[in-house]
Amino acid sequence: MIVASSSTQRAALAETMAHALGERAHITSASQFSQERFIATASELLIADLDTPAAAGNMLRFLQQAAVSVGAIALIDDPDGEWVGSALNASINAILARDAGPEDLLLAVQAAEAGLVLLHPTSVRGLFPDQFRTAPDGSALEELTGREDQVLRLVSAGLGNKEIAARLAISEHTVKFHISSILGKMNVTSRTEAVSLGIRRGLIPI
Amino acid sequence: MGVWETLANELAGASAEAGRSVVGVLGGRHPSSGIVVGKDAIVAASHAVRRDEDLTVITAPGESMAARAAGRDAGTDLVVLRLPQPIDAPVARWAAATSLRVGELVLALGRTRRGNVVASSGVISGLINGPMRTWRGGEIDQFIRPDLTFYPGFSGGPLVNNRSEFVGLNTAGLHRSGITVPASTVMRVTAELLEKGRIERPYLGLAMQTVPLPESLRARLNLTASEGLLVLHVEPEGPAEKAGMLMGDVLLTANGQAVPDTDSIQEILRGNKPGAQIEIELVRGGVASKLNVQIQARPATK
Repeated sequence: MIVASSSTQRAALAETMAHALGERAHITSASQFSQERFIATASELLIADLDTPAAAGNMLRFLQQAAVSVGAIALIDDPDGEWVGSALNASINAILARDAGPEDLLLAVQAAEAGLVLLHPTSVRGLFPDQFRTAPDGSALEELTGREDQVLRLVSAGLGNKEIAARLAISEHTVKFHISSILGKMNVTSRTEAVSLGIRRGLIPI
Repeated sequence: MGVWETLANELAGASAEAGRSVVGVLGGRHPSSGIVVGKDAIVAASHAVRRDEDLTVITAPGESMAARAAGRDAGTDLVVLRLPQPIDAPVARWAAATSLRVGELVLALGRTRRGNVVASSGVISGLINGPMRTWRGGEIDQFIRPDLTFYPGFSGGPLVNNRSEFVGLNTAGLHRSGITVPASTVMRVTAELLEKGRIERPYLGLAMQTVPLPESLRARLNLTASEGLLVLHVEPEGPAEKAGMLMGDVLLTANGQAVPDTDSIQEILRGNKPGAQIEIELVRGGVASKLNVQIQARPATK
């Protein structure tokens, strides 16, 4: 069962799921979370597009109140750590970004069927903010990746997210993810600070 | 005549009069406004005018003309548009110097896609004298925050004072609450965009980091400075590379002034234009020397 507030999003997700699952997919969709409807349609898996904090809250309540165990996949951008923790507690199977493609959705379905949990990196960093500051060998994660370095330079040239996305041929969502990672690694709270610090650290030529 | 009537007449009159130098601009997802700066030139808010071609400038109800972007400065969120033929509208009268006061009553004007002048009013809420950097890396001469409603479409329109002068260009693209790019900044940026198509910022092509200078080196070379700038990266084809700078060089002074940090060398750069020469004293492999670097304009980003 697909839950999304807009009919366009429901239709898009239904099509993606049909591609991902093939003939065995029996897909229904709804604009709200409803235990009765879920049971009545003999659904086994819930896929929800969460475009607002309210929708995220509604999904959480749905999972917490579910009488039977429900396979559940949430599509959400930059979820807050507390929500992720509660969702995991309520046995959510997958948290993906809202622009997840058919490959990722298929992986999520497989995870749900296997009783495992699949998480998009952006959903994890909110959970353990300090943990992700160190590289696997324990050294401080100060280094920006090649891509992050590129993004930082474009930010220093005054480009906005949309322009950076177009320039690097990636999604705006991915740009935001990179910038959030850059701000975290540099321990700053704004793009301006990141650029100032980048210049001082010799990451950005002047 | 009572105060109310006088005020009403003045504000309505100013809107109509100053509004003659305000145009509507269609060039993105949503309509925005623009200001007439020349017989065939308009300045508008860059973030609101996404496209460079196939733009429409609306001068009055039912009257419009095609336009194209002639240059942008993302840093100050300004874009200059060129019109194919002269426009029958008066050029904006900009306010002379920073004459604004907090609490002063001002009007924001815009022009809709239907060609009608629209207005919003309030007082100057905040003023900070610059120069300062916007989040997009541009330089504005003053931070002006008017306390008024930025309705959709107002970006690119003027902020008008009681003398019907334009104190700046309003935009929602530089600050969450909407700010006004001061007249002096708009004039400076517009002039350079019309002449060169972009803002040329002085550039060395060096990525550097402050390093303390070891006592032994200071003693041997008789240096007064205790810190210098270590070159971590020399931009290929950049001014510093052309002058022969190498990674590992440590900069001590630029034009005779100590450069213990990147802020100080940025300050010196800001005071020079592309084409100017800067004399750099540096240490390479324990040996002091001098290099002349010719500043160039920062290249368009790849």
